[in-house]
Amino acid sequence: MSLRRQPSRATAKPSPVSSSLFINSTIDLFLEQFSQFVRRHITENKSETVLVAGPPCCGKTKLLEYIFNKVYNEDISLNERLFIFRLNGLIHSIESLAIQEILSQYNIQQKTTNDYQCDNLQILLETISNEKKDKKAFFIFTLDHFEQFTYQKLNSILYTLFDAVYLNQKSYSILTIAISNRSDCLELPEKRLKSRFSQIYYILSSPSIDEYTKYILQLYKIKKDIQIPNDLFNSLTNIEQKIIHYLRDSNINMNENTRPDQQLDGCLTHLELLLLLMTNNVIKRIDEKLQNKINGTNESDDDDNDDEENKSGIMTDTKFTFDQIYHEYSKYVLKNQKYFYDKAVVRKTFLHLIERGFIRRYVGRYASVDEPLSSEHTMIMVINSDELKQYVESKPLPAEIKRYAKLNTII
Amino acid sequence: MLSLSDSYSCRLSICSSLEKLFSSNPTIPYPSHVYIYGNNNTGKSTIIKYILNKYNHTILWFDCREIYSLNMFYHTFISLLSNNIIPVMKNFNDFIRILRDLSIQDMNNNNNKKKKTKQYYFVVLHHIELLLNYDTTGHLLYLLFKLNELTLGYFHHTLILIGHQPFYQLPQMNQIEAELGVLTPITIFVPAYTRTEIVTILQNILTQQQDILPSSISQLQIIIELALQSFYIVTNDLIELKDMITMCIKDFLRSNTKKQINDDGTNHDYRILYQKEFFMQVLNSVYTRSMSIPKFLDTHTADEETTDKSSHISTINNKNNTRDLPLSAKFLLIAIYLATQNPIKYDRMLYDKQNQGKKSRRAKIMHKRTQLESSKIEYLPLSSNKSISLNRLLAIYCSLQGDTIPLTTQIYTQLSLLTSMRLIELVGSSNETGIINLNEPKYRCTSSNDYVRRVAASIDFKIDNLILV
Repeated sequence: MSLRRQPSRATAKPSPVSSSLFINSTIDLFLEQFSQFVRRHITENKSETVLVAGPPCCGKTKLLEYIFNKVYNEDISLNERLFIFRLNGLIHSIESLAIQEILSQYNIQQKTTNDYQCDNLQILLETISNEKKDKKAFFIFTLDHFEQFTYQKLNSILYTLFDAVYLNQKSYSILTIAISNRSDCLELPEKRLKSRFSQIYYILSSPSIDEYTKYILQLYKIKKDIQIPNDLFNSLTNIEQKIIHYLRDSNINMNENTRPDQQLDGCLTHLELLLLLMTNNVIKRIDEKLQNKINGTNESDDDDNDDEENKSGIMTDTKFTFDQIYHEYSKYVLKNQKYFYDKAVVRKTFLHLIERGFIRRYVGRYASVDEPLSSEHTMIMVINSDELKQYVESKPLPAEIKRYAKLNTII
Repeated sequence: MLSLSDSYSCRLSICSSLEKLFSSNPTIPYPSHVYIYGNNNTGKSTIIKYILNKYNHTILWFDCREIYSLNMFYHTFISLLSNNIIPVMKNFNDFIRILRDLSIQDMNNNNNKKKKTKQYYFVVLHHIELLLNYDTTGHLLYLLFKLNELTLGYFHHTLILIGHQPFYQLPQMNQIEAELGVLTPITIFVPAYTRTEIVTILQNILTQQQDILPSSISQLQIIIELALQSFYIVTNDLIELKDMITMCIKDFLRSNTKKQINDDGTNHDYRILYQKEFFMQVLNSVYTRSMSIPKFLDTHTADEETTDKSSHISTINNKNNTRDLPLSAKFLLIAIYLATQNPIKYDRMLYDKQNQGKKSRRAKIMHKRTQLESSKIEYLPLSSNKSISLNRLLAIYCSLQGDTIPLTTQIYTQLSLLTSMRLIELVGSSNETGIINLNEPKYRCTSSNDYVRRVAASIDFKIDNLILV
């Protein structure tokens, strides 16, 4: 059976639902094809490379683990000869670290405490395979976050694994499974590595939310019917966690916004809110000045776009300093004594806003994160002006704050 | 079993939702990742600790304020799991391997002891932002979420993160989402305490501290409310407010023991003590950490704040060493007293300096006084407690102050100060419906006759010249 670039359409009969794995027709087809691929690596003693790509948390690793367990269970004699090593590009992209991890996993699988002193992956693999004497060793390497391996130039792990396809080793064979969220990750390696890759790849997609929800409910033997709203950031893990949350606490709101930008309610004091409004005002004035300068040099090309930006309410990435905000604050308290506080009090309040993420500091490359806030530190505002507007309009706030917000026509 | 103190009675709903999340259940697993966030000192870590201890869970607690590097974090983590000598860990890879080995060891020990249940841990990272600041690669949070996968399923745990910002605002989240995928923990927001809740909590806390217990609970409440009027605008942090208000109460008790209070049934001294200037000094020094509490108490007291004011208050007579209201507040008090004493129709005669005519104002007042005494009609004694409209009050005040001092919005803060000190009272105006008319609020003088006269005497104001009866 040839391996196609795309998974075939659902023509195979669906197999009975496994209790530990969600299976639909597409997944079943993938399982069948990939299992055959793995068995071929063992029976034909052929080194191979393959890519499994798909969106994050769509089940790539889980499906592969299922296949490996199935292969182990089918032939018990393989336990001594089949070695599966799971590497992660985020922490094992350097050869020395990968070797330590491979050794550790080998000892777990074989229940030994061998400590081979190897600097080189190829030597390690030969050492392990030589232990088996007459029997051939089959190595399967899963490289999770494969793109992280490719970011390193002359990555010796990849060279060792990919070269095995052409070396025709008699004592062992290597099946390298690259796993990635990026479908373009085959474009990332160097030219020499690209040429060594077999160009076989599978692209997986997540099942539908309804299907997966039903499966999870069946798994936990729940007869309720739960509707998970269609969220842009839904992944299988997310759906399962939402269901667990709901099953444990049925009072939760399933339609709640999972990515609130900021929590304004139940958070801010009056002085903090006033400072946020003043920051908004200062940013607006800086933007206007900048716009006037641009309009002075280039006439009218960007006018339409600017109008759209202003209407959307999204803050521009304008930087400001604490001094500018304090200057605005000083002008305000000259007329309104109610919120008159010392500069140190205002600075501390500002630091609280930074701590809570309403304002973000730009930290230079050589500056310490803990450096005390100075007048020259630049910052950007994180909060959306539309949200701030809605909050000021809807909540019972002191009249002075509402008047300031209205009079300055910031929002 | 431990119990949450009464201070957390306002957190019952959050407590119950967290209890449901972490209670034992034979069929439904624990959530893998939970993120709890909110302002400082809102009870997040206390509630989590209480709930996890209630169900006897195994907790691995990390306060990231005490962790100064990632290596220290790895070392602390492993040391909580094992009493043996911990090998050196230089990176996350070493940490994962050692953690995995320990988990396998645990599992083997459990198998030997024939225990069916696997060891399950609740890993709590408090102040997670501080730990993430040490992460140079930007992948630490993602790797922590994948801890179960990286340890090949041997380390069973729930990861609970406690922070201040929304989850998607945490450091390096943009990088993680762009490169690695979206992390979606269960998020729970703990709002800041409302003012009412803070008053209740502080009363509970402060009444338990015997050394600062005032003579009556009502006094304590008044002090707390007065202080919150200044402090709550700036901060809603419970611990900060508690420290500052405790200090104010200590100062009050200290000055109380010094003075001998003549209790004439209207003990208003405690209201005079806590003036806005004293609270501002507390904010400017103790809150900003420019001065410690003991040092502040040594160098400041509410007495002294009256002598450090601006020039127009320097004429205050401090012979009796009494604590004083601001000058404008005194004039307001006098104005409301006069408004209560004199009928409305004589206001123009009494207070309008421009329409003097041939007779002087004093002459007119004397003449009217004799007329009223003879007719014995139409006067408003204080005991009638009639409410005075704000406009009239302000007009009389402006007349008393003169043209040199302009009327600013600060007058409203003085009004609220007098109201909170219970020297005047804001009342409703409609007789028919009983609803307060916010277009024109009305005030009633609740101070005693003698007190107002004392206040007038302290600024050399001859109040009798403006009273018709």
